[in-house]
Amino acid sequence: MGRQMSDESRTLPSSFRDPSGFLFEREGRLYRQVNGVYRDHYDHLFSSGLYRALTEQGLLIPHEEVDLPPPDPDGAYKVIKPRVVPFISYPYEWCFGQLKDAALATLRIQRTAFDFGMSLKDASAFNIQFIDGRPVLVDTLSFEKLELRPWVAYRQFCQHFLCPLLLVAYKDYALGPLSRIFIDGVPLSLASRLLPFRTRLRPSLATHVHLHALSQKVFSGKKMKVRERKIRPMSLAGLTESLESAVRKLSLPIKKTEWARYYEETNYTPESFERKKKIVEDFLEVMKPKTVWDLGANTGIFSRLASRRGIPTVAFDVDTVAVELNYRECREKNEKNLLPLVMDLTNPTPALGWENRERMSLLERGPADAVLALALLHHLAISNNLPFQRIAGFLGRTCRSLVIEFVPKTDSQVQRLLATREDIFGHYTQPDFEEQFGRVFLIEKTVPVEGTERTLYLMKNRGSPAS
Amino acid sequence: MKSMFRPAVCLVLVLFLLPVCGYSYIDLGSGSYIIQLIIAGFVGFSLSLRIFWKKIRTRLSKKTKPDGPADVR
Repeated sequence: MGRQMSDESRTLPSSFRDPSGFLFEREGRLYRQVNGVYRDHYDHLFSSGLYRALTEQGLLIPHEEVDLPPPDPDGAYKVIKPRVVPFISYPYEWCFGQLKDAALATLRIQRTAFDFGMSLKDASAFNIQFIDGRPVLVDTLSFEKLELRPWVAYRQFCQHFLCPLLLVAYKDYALGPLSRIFIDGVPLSLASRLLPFRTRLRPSLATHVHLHALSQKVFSGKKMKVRERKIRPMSLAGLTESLESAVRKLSLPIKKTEWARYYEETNYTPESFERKKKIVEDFLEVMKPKTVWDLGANTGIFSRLASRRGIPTVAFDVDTVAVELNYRECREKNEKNLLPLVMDLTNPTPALGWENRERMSLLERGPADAVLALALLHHLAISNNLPFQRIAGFLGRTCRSLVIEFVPKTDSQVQRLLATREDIFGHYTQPDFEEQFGRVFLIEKTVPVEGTERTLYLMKNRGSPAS
Repeated sequence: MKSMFRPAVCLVLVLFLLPVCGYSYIDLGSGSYIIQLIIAGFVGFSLSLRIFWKKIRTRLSKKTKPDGPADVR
Protein backbone atom coordinates (compact mmCIF):
# COMPACT_ATOMS: atom_id res chain seq x y z
CA MET A 1 0.00 0.00 0.00
CA GLY A 2 3.02 2.20 0.05
CA ARG A 3 2.34 3.61 3.47
CA GLN A 4 4.80 3.81 6.28
CA MET A 5 2.74 2.65 9.22
CA SER A 6 3.68 3.27 12.78
CA ASP A 7 4.00 -0.04 14.63
CA GLU A 8 0.90 0.18 16.79
CA SER A 9 -1.49 0.99 13.90
CA ARG A 10 -3.15 -1.46 11.55
CA THR A 11 -4.76 -0.23 8.33
CA LEU A 12 -8.08 -1.92 7.65
CA PRO A 13 -7.68 -4.29 4.70
CA SER A 14 -10.86 -2.86 3.13
CA SER A 15 -9.60 0.71 3.18
CA PHE A 16 -7.28 1.26 0.24
CA ARG A 17 -9.22 2.43 -2.81
CA ASP A 18 -9.84 6.08 -1.95
CA PRO A 19 -6.75 8.34 -1.80
CA SER A 20 -8.73 10.77 0.39
CA GLY A 21 -7.87 8.77 3.51
CA PHE A 22 -8.06 5.39 5.17
CA LEU A 23 -9.30 3.58 8.25
CA PHE A 24 -6.92 2.21 10.82
CA GLU A 25 -7.09 0.49 14.17
CA ARG A 26 -5.12 1.49 17.20
CA GLU A 27 -5.46 -0.14 20.59
CA GLY A 28 -8.68 -1.82 19.51
CA ARG A 29 -10.31 1.46 18.42
CA LEU A 30 -11.16 2.51 14.88
CA TYR A 31 -9.90 5.80 13.43
CA ARG A 32 -9.78 7.41 10.01
CA GLN A 33 -6.85 9.38 8.63
CA VAL A 34 -7.91 12.26 6.39
CA ASN A 35 -5.23 12.95 3.79
CA GLY A 36 -3.96 16.35 2.70
CA VAL A 37 -5.27 15.84 -0.85
CA TYR A 38 -8.80 15.81 0.59
CA ARG A 39 -8.33 18.88 2.77
CA ASP A 40 -10.49 21.33 0.75
CA HIS A 41 -13.40 18.93 0.49
CA TYR A 42 -13.19 17.95 4.17
CA ASP A 43 -13.16 21.58 5.26
CA HIS A 44 -16.05 22.37 2.93
CA LEU A 45 -18.07 19.53 4.48
CA PHE A 46 -18.01 21.50 7.74
CA SER A 47 -17.97 25.10 6.55
CA SER A 48 -20.95 24.48 4.25
CA GLY A 49 -22.99 23.03 7.13
CA LEU A 50 -23.49 19.70 5.33
CA TYR A 51 -21.88 17.61 8.08
CA ARG A 52 -24.22 19.09 10.64
CA ALA A 53 -27.30 18.73 8.46
CA LEU A 54 -26.59 15.07 7.69
CA THR A 55 -25.60 14.01 11.20
CA GLU A 56 -28.69 15.74 12.62
CA GLN A 57 -30.84 13.75 10.20
CA GLY A 58 -29.00 10.56 11.21
CA LEU A 59 -27.77 10.03 7.65
CA LEU A 60 -24.03 10.40 8.24
CA ILE A 61 -21.96 8.79 10.97
CA PRO A 62 -20.81 11.39 13.50
CA HIS A 63 -17.14 11.63 14.42
CA GLU A 64 -14.79 13.71 16.49
CA GLU A 65 -11.41 15.01 15.50
CA VAL A 66 -8.69 13.63 17.73
CA ASP A 67 -5.19 14.73 18.54
CA LEU A 68 -3.53 11.46 17.66
CA PRO A 69 -0.30 10.92 15.70
CA PRO A 70 -1.42 9.85 12.19
CA PRO A 71 -0.12 6.49 10.99
CA ASP A 72 1.03 8.03 7.70
CA PRO A 73 2.24 11.50 8.75
CA ASP A 74 3.48 12.51 5.28
CA GLY A 75 0.04 12.54 3.69
CA ALA A 76 -2.02 13.31 6.76
CA TYR A 77 -4.31 16.27 7.33
CA LYS A 78 -6.37 15.06 10.30
CA VAL A 79 -7.29 11.99 12.31
CA ILE A 80 -10.94 11.45 13.13
CA LYS A 81 -12.67 8.99 15.44
CA PRO A 82 -16.03 7.85 13.99
CA ARG A 83 -18.84 6.49 16.14
CA VAL A 84 -18.60 2.73 16.61
CA VAL A 85 -20.81 0.61 14.35
CA PRO A 86 -22.23 -2.15 16.58
CA PHE A 87 -22.17 -4.82 13.87
CA ILE A 88 -20.80 -4.56 10.34
CA SER A 89 -23.21 -6.02 7.79
CA TYR A 90 -22.94 -6.30 4.03
CA PRO A 91 -25.45 -5.69 1.20
CA TYR A 92 -25.53 -9.40 0.33
CA GLU A 93 -26.82 -10.06 3.87
CA TRP A 94 -29.61 -7.49 3.68
CA CYS A 95 -33.20 -8.19 2.81
CA PHE A 96 -34.98 -6.25 0.07
CA GLY A 97 -36.32 -3.61 2.46
CA GLN A 98 -32.89 -2.94 3.90
CA LEU A 99 -31.29 -2.52 0.47
CA LYS A 100 -34.15 -0.25 -0.62
CA ASP A 101 -33.81 1.91 2.50
CA ALA A 102 -30.04 2.07 2.00
CA ALA A 103 -30.57 3.17 -1.63
CA LEU A 104 -33.07 5.86 -0.62
CA ALA A 105 -30.75 7.06 2.15
CA THR A 106 -27.90 7.38 -0.38
CA LEU A 107 -30.09 9.46 -2.70
CA ARG A 108 -31.37 11.61 0.15
CA ILE A 109 -27.76 12.27 1.15
CA GLN A 110 -26.98 13.22 -2.45
CA ARG A 111 -29.96 15.62 -2.57
CA THR A 112 -28.94 17.21 0.72
CA ALA A 113 -25.35 17.47 -0.48
CA PHE A 114 -26.49 19.47 -3.54
CA ASP A 115 -28.12 22.01 -1.24
CA PHE A 116 -24.75 22.59 0.41
CA GLY A 117 -22.68 22.68 -2.78
CA MET A 118 -21.34 19.15 -2.51
CA SER A 119 -21.92 15.76 -4.14
CA LEU A 120 -21.23 12.11 -3.40
CA LYS A 121 -18.14 10.89 -5.21
CA ASP A 122 -19.06 7.27 -4.65
CA ALA A 123 -22.31 5.44 -4.04
CA SER A 124 -21.11 2.08 -2.81
CA ALA A 125 -23.62 0.02 -0.84
CA PHE A 126 -20.71 -1.01 1.39
CA ASN A 127 -20.53 2.59 2.63
CA ILE A 128 -23.90 2.15 4.31
CA GLN A 129 -24.30 0.46 7.68
CA PHE A 130 -27.35 -0.03 9.87
CA ILE A 131 -27.04 1.87 13.13
CA ASP A 132 -29.97 2.11 15.54
CA GLY A 133 -32.04 0.36 12.91
CA ARG A 134 -31.43 3.02 10.25
CA PRO A 135 -29.16 3.15 7.18
CA VAL A 136 -26.24 5.52 7.81
CA LEU A 137 -23.37 6.59 5.54
CA VAL A 138 -20.18 5.59 7.33
CA ASP A 139 -17.64 6.98 4.86
CA THR A 140 -17.15 10.60 5.88
CA LEU A 141 -14.78 11.12 2.95
CA SER A 142 -17.40 10.33 0.29
CA PHE A 143 -18.13 13.97 -0.49
CA GLU A 144 -16.56 16.37 -2.93
CA LYS A 145 -17.29 19.95 -3.86
CA LEU A 146 -20.08 20.05 -6.42
CA GLU A 147 -18.93 20.41 -10.00
CA LEU A 148 -21.44 20.76 -12.78
CA ARG A 149 -20.51 17.53 -14.53
CA PRO A 150 -22.19 14.11 -14.72
CA TRP A 151 -22.48 12.31 -11.38
CA VAL A 152 -19.38 10.13 -11.10
CA ALA A 153 -21.14 7.59 -8.90
CA TYR A 154 -24.14 7.11 -11.20
CA ARG A 155 -23.08 3.73 -12.60
CA GLN A 156 -22.02 2.54 -9.14
CA PHE A 157 -25.41 3.44 -7.72
CA CYS A 158 -27.20 1.54 -10.49
CA GLN A 159 -25.00 -1.54 -9.99
CA HIS A 160 -24.94 -1.55 -6.20
CA PHE A 161 -28.57 -0.68 -5.56
CA LEU A 162 -30.92 -0.46 -8.53
CA CYS A 163 -30.02 -3.71 -10.32
CA PRO A 164 -30.06 -5.97 -7.21
CA LEU A 165 -33.37 -4.44 -6.09
CA LEU A 166 -34.96 -4.92 -9.50
CA LEU A 167 -33.79 -8.52 -9.79
CA VAL A 168 -35.36 -9.40 -6.45
CA ALA A 169 -38.55 -7.43 -7.10
CA TYR A 170 -39.11 -8.66 -10.65
CA LYS A 171 -37.42 -12.09 -10.78
CA ASP A 172 -36.70 -14.01 -7.62
CA TYR A 173 -35.73 -13.61 -3.95
CA ALA A 174 -32.87 -15.99 -4.61
CA LEU A 175 -31.07 -13.31 -6.66
CA GLY A 176 -30.58 -11.16 -3.55
CA PRO A 177 -27.13 -12.51 -2.70
CA LEU A 178 -25.92 -11.98 -6.30
CA SER A 179 -23.90 -9.02 -5.03
CA ARG A 180 -21.86 -11.54 -3.05
CA ILE A 181 -20.47 -12.72 -6.41
CA PHE A 182 -20.28 -9.27 -7.99
CA ILE A 183 -18.63 -7.30 -5.22
CA ASP A 184 -18.62 -4.10 -7.30
CA GLY A 185 -22.29 -4.38 -8.02
CA VAL A 186 -24.42 -6.44 -10.38
CA PRO A 187 -23.36 -5.71 -13.99
CA LEU A 188 -25.97 -3.74 -15.89
CA SER A 189 -25.73 -6.04 -18.89
CA LEU A 190 -26.55 -9.07 -16.73
CA ALA A 191 -29.44 -7.31 -15.00
CA SER A 192 -30.78 -6.11 -18.35
CA ARG A 193 -30.72 -9.67 -19.74
CA LEU A 194 -32.36 -11.20 -16.67
CA LEU A 195 -35.12 -8.65 -16.13
CA PRO A 196 -38.53 -9.30 -17.71
CA PHE A 197 -39.80 -7.40 -20.75
CA ARG A 198 -42.23 -5.28 -18.73
CA THR A 199 -39.34 -3.44 -17.09
CA ARG A 200 -38.54 -2.01 -20.56
CA LEU A 201 -41.95 -0.34 -20.57
CA ARG A 202 -41.22 1.71 -17.47
CA PRO A 203 -39.32 4.80 -18.63
CA SER A 204 -37.09 5.05 -15.56
CA LEU A 205 -36.05 1.39 -15.76
CA ALA A 206 -35.75 1.44 -19.54
CA THR A 207 -33.24 4.27 -19.27
CA HIS A 208 -31.32 3.63 -16.02
CA VAL A 209 -30.91 -0.09 -16.69
CA HIS A 210 -31.62 -1.19 -20.26
CA LEU A 211 -30.40 1.79 -22.26
CA HIS A 212 -27.61 2.24 -19.74
CA ALA A 213 -26.48 -1.35 -20.40
CA LEU A 214 -26.79 -0.82 -24.12
CA SER A 215 -24.82 2.38 -23.95
CA GLN A 216 -22.07 0.57 -22.06
CA LYS A 217 -22.04 -2.13 -24.71
CA VAL A 218 -21.88 0.38 -27.56
CA PHE A 219 -18.96 2.27 -26.06
CA SER A 220 -17.17 -0.59 -24.33
CA GLY A 221 -13.48 -0.65 -25.17
CA LYS A 222 -13.79 2.22 -27.67
CA LYS A 223 -11.44 5.12 -27.32
CA MET A 224 -13.27 8.23 -28.29
CA LYS A 225 -12.93 11.84 -27.48
CA VAL A 226 -15.86 13.61 -26.01
CA ARG A 227 -15.87 17.18 -24.90
CA GLU A 228 -16.19 17.56 -21.13
CA ARG A 229 -19.78 18.65 -20.82
CA LYS A 230 -21.20 20.73 -18.07
CA ILE A 231 -24.48 19.66 -16.64
CA ARG A 232 -27.11 21.98 -15.23
CA PRO A 233 -27.86 21.77 -11.49
CA MET A 234 -31.48 21.12 -12.44
CA SER A 235 -30.40 18.11 -14.50
CA LEU A 236 -28.36 16.69 -11.59
CA ALA A 237 -31.32 17.15 -9.28
CA GLY A 238 -33.61 15.60 -11.89
CA LEU A 239 -31.34 12.57 -12.21
CA THR A 240 -31.39 12.01 -8.46
CA GLU A 241 -35.14 12.47 -8.37
CA SER A 242 -35.62 10.03 -11.23
CA LEU A 243 -33.52 7.37 -9.45
CA GLU A 244 -35.37 8.02 -6.21
CA SER A 245 -38.73 7.62 -7.90
CA ALA A 246 -37.60 4.37 -9.58
CA VAL A 247 -36.42 2.92 -6.25
CA ARG A 248 -39.41 4.13 -4.26
CA LYS A 249 -41.87 2.41 -6.59
CA LEU A 250 -40.25 -1.00 -6.08
CA SER A 251 -41.96 -3.37 -3.70
CA LEU A 252 -41.49 -6.95 -2.65
CA PRO A 253 -44.50 -9.23 -2.89
CA ILE A 254 -44.45 -11.36 0.26
CA LYS A 255 -44.81 -15.03 -0.62
CA LYS A 256 -45.66 -17.53 2.08
CA THR A 257 -42.34 -19.33 2.27
CA GLU A 258 -41.70 -22.36 4.46
CA TRP A 259 -39.95 -20.33 7.13
CA ALA A 260 -42.04 -17.16 7.03
CA ARG A 261 -45.03 -19.15 8.30
CA TYR A 262 -42.96 -21.20 10.72
CA TYR A 263 -44.61 -19.94 13.86
CA GLU A 264 -48.05 -20.62 12.39
CA GLU A 265 -47.17 -24.30 12.24
CA THR A 266 -45.50 -24.95 15.57
CA ASN A 267 -46.49 -28.11 17.38
CA TYR A 268 -46.82 -26.61 20.84
CA THR A 269 -49.55 -24.67 22.55
CA PRO A 270 -49.49 -20.90 23.15
CA GLU A 271 -48.86 -21.67 26.85
CA SER A 272 -45.78 -23.76 26.04
CA PHE A 273 -44.58 -21.04 23.69
CA GLU A 274 -44.87 -18.49 26.49
CA ARG A 275 -43.03 -20.86 28.86
CA LYS A 276 -40.23 -21.17 26.33
CA LYS A 277 -39.99 -17.39 26.11
CA LYS A 278 -39.87 -17.16 29.90
CA ILE A 279 -37.01 -19.69 30.10
CA VAL A 280 -35.02 -17.76 27.47
CA GLU A 281 -35.63 -14.54 29.39
CA ASP A 282 -34.42 -16.18 32.59
CA PHE A 283 -31.28 -17.36 30.81
CA LEU A 284 -30.66 -13.84 29.45
CA GLU A 285 -31.02 -12.53 32.99
CA VAL A 286 -28.34 -14.96 34.16
CA MET A 287 -25.95 -14.32 31.25
CA LYS A 288 -26.38 -10.53 31.02
CA PRO A 289 -24.78 -10.54 27.56
CA LYS A 290 -23.51 -7.37 25.90
CA THR A 291 -24.25 -8.72 22.41
CA VAL A 292 -26.56 -11.47 21.15
CA TRP A 293 -26.74 -13.37 17.89
CA ASP A 294 -29.98 -15.24 17.29
CA LEU A 295 -29.22 -18.01 14.79
CA GLY A 296 -32.25 -19.20 12.85
CA ALA A 297 -34.19 -16.24 14.22
CA ASN A 298 -37.09 -16.43 11.77
CA THR A 299 -39.16 -13.25 12.24
CA GLY A 300 -37.32 -12.38 15.44
CA ILE A 301 -39.76 -13.26 18.23
CA PHE A 302 -36.99 -14.56 20.48
CA SER A 303 -34.43 -12.01 19.26
CA ARG A 304 -36.70 -9.32 20.68
CA LEU A 305 -36.43 -10.83 24.15
CA ALA A 306 -32.81 -9.70 24.00
CA SER A 307 -33.08 -6.50 21.95
CA ARG A 308 -35.89 -5.14 24.14
CA ARG A 309 -33.50 -5.32 27.06
CA GLY A 310 -31.27 -2.89 25.17
CA ILE A 311 -28.84 -5.59 24.06
CA PRO A 312 -27.54 -5.11 20.49
CA THR A 313 -28.94 -8.21 18.78
CA VAL A 314 -28.39 -9.62 15.31
CA ALA A 315 -31.17 -11.91 14.05
CA PHE A 316 -29.90 -14.24 11.33
CA ASP A 317 -32.13 -16.38 9.16
CA VAL A 318 -31.76 -18.16 5.85
CA ASP A 319 -35.22 -17.13 4.69
CA THR A 320 -35.21 -13.72 3.06
CA VAL A 321 -38.99 -13.35 3.55
CA ALA A 322 -38.72 -14.03 7.29
CA VAL A 323 -35.91 -11.45 7.46
CA GLU A 324 -38.01 -8.99 5.43
CA LEU A 325 -40.94 -9.38 7.86
CA ASN A 326 -38.58 -8.99 10.80
CA TYR A 327 -37.08 -5.82 9.30
CA ARG A 328 -40.52 -4.35 8.57
CA GLU A 329 -41.47 -4.83 12.21
CA CYS A 330 -38.22 -3.16 13.27
CA ARG A 331 -39.06 -0.16 11.09
CA GLU A 332 -42.68 0.04 12.18
CA LYS A 333 -41.78 -0.05 15.86
CA ASN A 334 -38.60 1.98 15.43
CA GLU A 335 -36.53 -0.74 17.10
CA LYS A 336 -32.94 0.36 17.55
CA ASN A 337 -31.23 -2.73 18.93
CA LEU A 338 -32.26 -5.37 16.43
CA LEU A 339 -30.56 -6.03 13.10
CA PRO A 340 -32.16 -8.76 10.97
CA LEU A 341 -29.84 -10.32 8.37
CA VAL A 342 -30.04 -13.07 5.76
CA MET A 343 -27.57 -15.84 6.56
CA ASP A 344 -27.34 -19.47 5.54
CA LEU A 345 -25.59 -21.08 8.50
CA THR A 346 -24.62 -24.10 6.42
CA ASN A 347 -22.74 -21.70 4.13
CA PRO A 348 -22.11 -18.55 6.17
CA THR A 349 -20.72 -15.38 4.59
CA PRO A 350 -17.08 -15.96 3.69
CA ALA A 351 -14.31 -13.38 3.62
CA LEU A 352 -14.40 -11.67 0.23
CA GLY A 353 -12.64 -9.16 -1.97
CA TRP A 354 -8.99 -8.40 -2.53
CA GLU A 355 -6.76 -10.95 -0.75
CA ASN A 356 -9.99 -12.27 0.83
CA ARG A 357 -9.62 -9.45 3.31
CA GLU A 358 -11.87 -6.65 2.09
CA ARG A 359 -15.13 -7.99 3.52
CA MET A 360 -15.16 -10.03 6.70
CA SER A 361 -16.54 -13.52 7.12
CA LEU A 362 -19.29 -14.08 9.66
CA LEU A 363 -16.91 -15.59 12.21
CA GLU A 364 -14.46 -12.68 11.88
CA ARG A 365 -17.25 -10.39 13.10
CA GLY A 366 -17.73 -12.36 16.28
CA PRO A 367 -17.74 -13.70 18.82
CA ALA A 368 -21.05 -12.66 20.34
CA ASP A 369 -21.45 -12.69 24.08
CA ALA A 370 -24.39 -15.02 23.69
CA VAL A 371 -25.93 -17.07 20.91
CA LEU A 372 -29.55 -18.23 20.79
CA ALA A 373 -29.96 -21.44 18.81
CA LEU A 374 -33.64 -22.23 19.24
CA ALA A 375 -35.40 -24.87 17.14
CA LEU A 376 -32.28 -24.93 15.01
CA LEU A 377 -30.40 -28.08 15.98
CA HIS A 378 -32.68 -30.58 14.21
CA HIS A 379 -32.54 -28.60 10.97
CA LEU A 380 -28.74 -28.61 11.00
CA ALA A 381 -28.38 -32.21 12.19
CA ILE A 382 -31.13 -33.88 10.17
CA SER A 383 -31.78 -31.67 7.13
CA ASN A 384 -28.08 -31.01 6.61
CA ASN A 385 -26.49 -34.22 7.98
CA LEU A 386 -24.30 -32.26 10.37
CA PRO A 387 -22.97 -34.32 13.29
CA PHE A 388 -23.44 -32.83 16.81
CA GLN A 389 -19.68 -32.63 17.15
CA ARG A 390 -19.40 -30.31 14.12
CA ILE A 391 -22.34 -28.14 15.22
CA ALA A 392 -20.87 -27.78 18.71
CA GLY A 393 -17.49 -26.91 17.17
CA PHE A 394 -19.02 -24.17 15.00
CA LEU A 395 -21.12 -22.70 17.81
CA GLY A 396 -18.06 -22.79 20.06
CA ARG A 397 -16.42 -20.34 17.68
CA THR A 398 -19.37 -17.94 17.70
CA CYS A 399 -20.05 -17.23 21.37
CA ARG A 400 -19.13 -17.25 25.04
CA SER A 401 -22.56 -18.44 26.19
CA LEU A 402 -25.10 -20.53 24.34
CA VAL A 403 -28.82 -21.05 24.71
CA ILE A 404 -29.74 -24.10 22.69
CA GLU A 405 -32.90 -26.14 22.29
CA PHE A 406 -32.83 -29.90 21.95
CA VAL A 407 -35.74 -31.26 19.91
CA PRO A 408 -36.02 -35.08 20.19
CA LYS A 409 -36.76 -37.42 17.32
CA THR A 410 -40.25 -38.06 18.66
CA ASP A 411 -41.15 -34.39 18.16
CA SER A 412 -43.52 -33.96 15.22
CA GLN A 413 -41.27 -31.33 13.61
CA VAL A 414 -38.38 -33.81 13.52
CA GLN A 415 -40.75 -36.51 12.30
CA ARG A 416 -41.69 -34.20 9.45
CA LEU A 417 -38.03 -33.86 8.48
CA LEU A 418 -37.61 -37.62 8.59
CA ALA A 419 -40.82 -38.37 6.69
CA THR A 420 -39.23 -38.34 3.26
CA ARG A 421 -35.84 -39.78 4.03
CA GLU A 422 -34.11 -42.72 5.64
CA ASP A 423 -33.34 -42.30 9.33
CA ILE A 424 -29.57 -42.54 9.36
CA PHE A 425 -29.33 -40.56 12.58
CA GLY A 426 -28.74 -43.20 15.20
CA HIS A 427 -26.70 -40.72 17.24
CA TYR A 428 -29.45 -38.12 17.33
CA THR A 429 -30.23 -38.66 21.01
CA GLN A 430 -30.24 -36.36 24.01
CA PRO A 431 -27.36 -38.17 25.79
CA ASP A 432 -25.23 -38.00 22.64
CA PHE A 433 -26.10 -34.31 22.25
CA GLU A 434 -25.05 -33.62 25.84
CA GLU A 435 -21.84 -35.59 25.44
CA GLN A 436 -20.74 -33.84 22.22
CA PHE A 437 -21.74 -30.33 23.34
CA GLY A 438 -20.26 -31.02 26.79
CA ARG A 439 -16.82 -31.23 25.19
CA VAL A 440 -17.02 -27.63 23.95
CA PHE A 441 -19.42 -26.12 26.48
CA LEU A 442 -20.04 -26.44 30.18
CA ILE A 443 -23.74 -27.25 30.63
CA GLU A 444 -24.97 -24.84 33.30
CA LYS A 445 -28.76 -25.24 33.18
CA THR A 446 -31.15 -27.76 31.68
CA VAL A 447 -34.84 -26.81 31.62
CA PRO A 448 -37.55 -28.91 29.92
CA VAL A 449 -40.20 -26.84 28.14
CA GLU A 450 -43.40 -27.89 29.85
CA GLY A 451 -46.08 -29.18 27.49
CA THR A 452 -43.50 -30.22 24.87
CA GLU A 453 -40.80 -32.84 24.51
CA ARG A 454 -38.15 -30.18 24.09
CA THR A 455 -35.38 -29.07 26.44
CA LEU A 456 -33.57 -25.75 26.71
CA TYR A 457 -29.92 -25.62 27.73
CA LEU A 458 -27.78 -22.79 28.99
CA MET A 459 -24.13 -23.49 28.26
CA LYS A 460 -20.86 -21.69 28.79
CA ASN A 461 -17.92 -21.97 26.41
CA ARG A 462 -15.09 -23.98 27.99
CA GLY A 463 -12.48 -22.06 26.05
CA SER A 464 -12.31 -18.72 24.35
CA PRO A 465 -14.15 -18.56 21.04
CA ALA A 466 -11.57 -17.85 18.34
CA SER A 467 -12.11 -17.71 14.64
CA MET B 1 -33.39 -8.35 -28.88
CA LYS B 2 -36.20 -6.96 -31.06
CA SER B 3 -37.51 -5.06 -28.10
CA MET B 4 -34.23 -3.22 -27.85
CA PHE B 5 -34.07 -2.27 -31.53
CA ARG B 6 -35.97 1.02 -31.32
CA PRO B 7 -34.29 2.26 -28.13
CA ALA B 8 -30.95 1.32 -29.67
CA VAL B 9 -31.68 3.35 -32.79
CA CYS B 10 -32.79 6.32 -30.67
CA LEU B 11 -29.69 6.04 -28.50
CA VAL B 12 -27.34 5.95 -31.48
CA LEU B 13 -29.14 8.94 -33.06
CA VAL B 14 -28.85 10.96 -29.89
CA LEU B 15 -25.22 9.97 -29.47
CA PHE B 16 -24.45 11.19 -32.96
CA LEU B 17 -25.85 14.56 -31.99
CA LEU B 18 -23.39 14.87 -29.12
CA PRO B 19 -20.32 16.99 -29.77
CA VAL B 20 -17.25 14.87 -30.45
CA CYS B 21 -14.45 17.36 -30.53
CA GLY B 22 -12.78 16.51 -27.36
CA TYR B 23 -10.67 17.62 -24.55
CA SER B 24 -10.38 14.42 -22.58
CA TYR B 25 -10.34 10.71 -23.12
CA ILE B 26 -13.12 8.74 -21.53
CA ASP B 27 -12.74 5.18 -20.35
CA LEU B 28 -14.99 2.15 -19.98
CA GLY B 29 -17.40 4.27 -18.01
CA SER B 30 -18.09 6.24 -21.18
CA GLY B 31 -21.36 4.40 -21.77
CA SER B 32 -22.59 5.44 -18.31
CA TYR B 33 -21.32 8.96 -18.87
CA ILE B 34 -23.18 9.42 -22.13
CA ILE B 35 -26.45 7.83 -21.09
CA GLN B 36 -26.39 9.97 -17.98
CA LEU B 37 -26.06 13.13 -20.06
CA ILE B 38 -29.09 12.10 -22.08
CA ILE B 39 -31.21 11.12 -19.07
CA ALA B 40 -30.11 14.17 -17.10
CA GLY B 41 -31.09 16.35 -20.07
CA PHE B 42 -34.58 14.90 -20.20
CA VAL B 43 -35.28 14.76 -16.48
CA GLY B 44 -33.72 18.19 -15.94
CA PHE B 45 -35.97 19.63 -18.65
CA SER B 46 -39.00 17.91 -17.17
CA LEU B 47 -38.13 19.13 -13.67
CA SER B 48 -37.72 22.71 -14.97
CA LEU B 49 -41.11 22.47 -16.68
CA ARG B 50 -42.75 21.21 -13.51
CA ILE B 51 -41.24 24.00 -11.43
CA PHE B 52 -42.21 26.57 -14.07
CA TRP B 53 -45.77 25.20 -14.22
CA LYS B 54 -46.03 25.23 -10.44
CA LYS B 55 -44.98 28.88 -10.37
CA ILE B 56 -47.58 29.80 -12.99
CA ARG B 57 -50.30 27.95 -11.11
CA THR B 58 -49.32 29.66 -7.88
CA ARG B 59 -49.46 33.08 -9.55
CA LEU B 60 -52.75 32.35 -11.28
CA SER B 61 -54.35 31.07 -8.10
CA LYS B 62 -53.21 34.21 -6.31
CA LYS B 63 -54.66 36.41 -9.04
CA THR B 64 -57.97 34.60 -9.32
CA LYS B 65 -58.42 34.22 -5.60
CA PRO B 66 -61.06 36.66 -4.38
CA ASP B 67 -59.99 39.03 -1.67
CA GLY B 68 -60.38 37.60 1.75
CA PRO B 69 -63.53 38.39 3.74
CA ALA B 70 -63.56 41.67 5.49
CA ASP B 71 -62.89 41.56 9.13
CA VAL B 72 -66.39 40.97 10.43
CA ARG B 73 -66.92 41.35 14.10
